[in-house]
Amino acid sequence: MSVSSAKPLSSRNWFSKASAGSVFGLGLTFAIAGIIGLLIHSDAMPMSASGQLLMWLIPTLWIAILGACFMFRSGLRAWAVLGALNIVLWGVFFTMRATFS
Amino acid sequence: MKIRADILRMYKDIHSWVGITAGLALFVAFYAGAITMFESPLQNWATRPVPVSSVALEKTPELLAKIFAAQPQAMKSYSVIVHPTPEQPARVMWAALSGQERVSRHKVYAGMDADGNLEIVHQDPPEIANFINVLHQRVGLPFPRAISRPIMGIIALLYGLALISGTLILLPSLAKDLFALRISHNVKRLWLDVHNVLGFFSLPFHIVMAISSVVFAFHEPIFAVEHWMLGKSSALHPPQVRHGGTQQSHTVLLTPEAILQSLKVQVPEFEPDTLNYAQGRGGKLALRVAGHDPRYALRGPDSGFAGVDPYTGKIVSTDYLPGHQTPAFAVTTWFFSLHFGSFGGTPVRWLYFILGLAGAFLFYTGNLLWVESRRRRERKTGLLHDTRATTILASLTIGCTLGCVAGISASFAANSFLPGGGSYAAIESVYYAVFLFMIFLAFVVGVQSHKQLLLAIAGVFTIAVPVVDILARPAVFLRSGALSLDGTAFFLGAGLILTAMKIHLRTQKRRCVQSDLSASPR
Repeated sequence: MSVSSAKPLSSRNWFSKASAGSVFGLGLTFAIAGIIGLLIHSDAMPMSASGQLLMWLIPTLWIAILGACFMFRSGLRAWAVLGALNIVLWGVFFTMRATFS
Repeated sequence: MKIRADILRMYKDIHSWVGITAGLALFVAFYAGAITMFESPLQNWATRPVPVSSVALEKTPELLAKIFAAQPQAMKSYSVIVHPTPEQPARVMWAALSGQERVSRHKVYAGMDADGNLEIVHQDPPEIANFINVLHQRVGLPFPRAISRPIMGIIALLYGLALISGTLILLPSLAKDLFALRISHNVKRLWLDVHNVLGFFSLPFHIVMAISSVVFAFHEPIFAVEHWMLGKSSALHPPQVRHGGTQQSHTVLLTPEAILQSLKVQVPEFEPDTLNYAQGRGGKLALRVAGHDPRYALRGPDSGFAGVDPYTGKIVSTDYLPGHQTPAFAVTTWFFSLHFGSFGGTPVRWLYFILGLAGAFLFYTGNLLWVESRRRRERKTGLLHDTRATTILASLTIGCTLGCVAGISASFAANSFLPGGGSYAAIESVYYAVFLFMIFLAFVVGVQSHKQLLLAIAGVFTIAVPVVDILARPAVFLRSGALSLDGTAFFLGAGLILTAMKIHLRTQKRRCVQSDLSASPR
């Protein structure tokens, strides 16, 4: 991820990074799960195996993003990059859903 | 492995802050969770004998007919027990569940005497095993499920973050630090070594626990969002019709004996434990057979399930049937099973018990490290005494952890003399009374010099479990589970008391040396 060697990372701006990871990280995991769900034609029913596997995918990805979001240089950058990724992936998801159905 | 110094420092900070926020709740979750590995044997241990006659399996249809004539509401949902145990003492039983809370678990058992007269016995099962499971699920908080579940989920997320950051900061010095258990006078070094070894070797276990706990906390909203995102596509894929060929032609239920016979032919390795009948929508009766197969992972804490047509005996759903699942269902079953330790039988249960206790100890050492390094930093600035924050945290750490141990032991001891093993409210009050008392004590006596007092009290409560059990219900050796529980409690209690004595002797010695020094002529 974007790290400049000039300014060392620190935990001081943890809140802005962590909140970006929590909110946009969760949005991102849903978008990814949604795209995978469309690709495998999941109906996302709690009783179905694909629905359950997608459900398990979400906390796993979310925790991973939460762990990684501190590598952003600043909180602002975390919000910007994760936000942009959200827009792109949700866009992909809605486009795919519209074409599939 | 090299990691940049500023990144290491950042993750070290994150690790200590998430650790200190979540550590105490996780201690309770892991200590209670380790005990929950044996929820079913503990239920057998705690349950008092129920005065209900046993009924041979082949006489079950007669018994059922009499039950339905006397209590038609039982028809909606009832279970036929294949091998009655103390926990499930009658051939036929049904439950009066009050919502999802499982706080009242009133049970009704039915049997027949020698003359064929129907016997119906009501019982509130002892709540100790259930209480400890609920305590585990609520990370020790006394709030209702709706409040404590999301808190648990957040704690689990922090726990996941602690695992990532903890692993990262250990990586650079992994080879050097891992096998070095430096037992010296440097307490902080020793706690750190123990913390590293425990954390590293049980990392896979902890990853499973972190992810599955977030799932348990948030699966309902996640499914709701998933459904909103993907639900429409279900119109393209109509739900599969699972009930193959059950037309109205079969209106006579098969006897439980015939069901078991039919299952034996279809899935010879699956050992059925309970036949659960329930009326679904439209009054159609569905049968779910709970059972186990020691060679496979089980979806539930104790069982896998087969959906069976109660009229033909044909298996209609193998989604949760051990060894007959589709690969996708087998994968999700493994996720659950890795949390519940419901694979590989009793040895895995004991392994999980030990891993759970080790996990609890990991969080305890983590908190102690936090306190210890804070103390050092404060001493470096010239402070002679701990700041208030350090004192509060040290007291909370000792008070909560030993309070949880003492409280759970006290609840076990209470089971032996409370009527019927104790209602949920009674067990809950015993636990929280002891828990809060220990926290209070930690703050009053000061844990810096009186940690051993709390250790000793927790030890006495724990060793009281076997003592009370033997005194109150002397036929210990005849009761299932009693020996394992009493033995484990004895060793744990003795260990706590010995540790307390050791710390006491050490401080005594140090005090002697100090007074000698101050008494010696200058």
